[in-house]
Amino acid sequence: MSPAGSCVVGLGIDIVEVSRIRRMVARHDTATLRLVFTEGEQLRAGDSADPPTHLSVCFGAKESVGKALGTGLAAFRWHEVDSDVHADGLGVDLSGAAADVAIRRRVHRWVAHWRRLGGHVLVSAVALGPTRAI
Amino acid sequence: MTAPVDPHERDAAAVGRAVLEILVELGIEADDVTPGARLRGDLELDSTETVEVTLELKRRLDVDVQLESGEDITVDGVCARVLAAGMQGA
Repeated sequence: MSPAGSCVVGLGIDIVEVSRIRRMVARHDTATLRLVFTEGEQLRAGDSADPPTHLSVCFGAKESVGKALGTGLAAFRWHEVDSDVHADGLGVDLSGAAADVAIRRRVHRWVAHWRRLGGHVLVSAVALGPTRAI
Repeated sequence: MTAPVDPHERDAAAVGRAVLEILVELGIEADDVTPGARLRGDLELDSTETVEVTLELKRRLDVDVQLESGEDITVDGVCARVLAAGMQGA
């Protein structure tokens, strides 16, 4: 059930293998990684207990947002989705072309979650819009 | 006397070599990396591997190219995007 006053505009789910993100991060410097991860995501990951898992959640959130918007990552850049990862949830903030797509789709709120599944993280993002008039 | 090498052809060759090396490092057979091979449909790259290609192109050639698109981009298409983005440092 969607929160009162909202309807579901889109849903995206993604699963990410943490070891692959760990390798990716090890191979590239922070400036290069800015093509994918925002400065905030990298800083928060650095302060976290498990940076590879943290960034895997961020990566999955970008994919999930793209799926929920119905465009995939073709319509915007990876770093235009900023994720604030918490132990029990996930906040997403869009900028640039990603925010433009969300406005066109009338998305006014995101509800995102993640959980660890062995060596993977599972991330979901629900795009909520205003309730349609009947 | 040897004719001067067209800078665009030289750059295109360097980009082609870099793209081939990056894909081989990802585990793709070199013989499968043909100009018309599609990243997803033929080479079976997933989104993480596609991002790896983007990051390696940035690291090696200092170019920022977006490979995610509505269509399944070919190896030739990757090279064209790199050249269009303005290759530096190859």
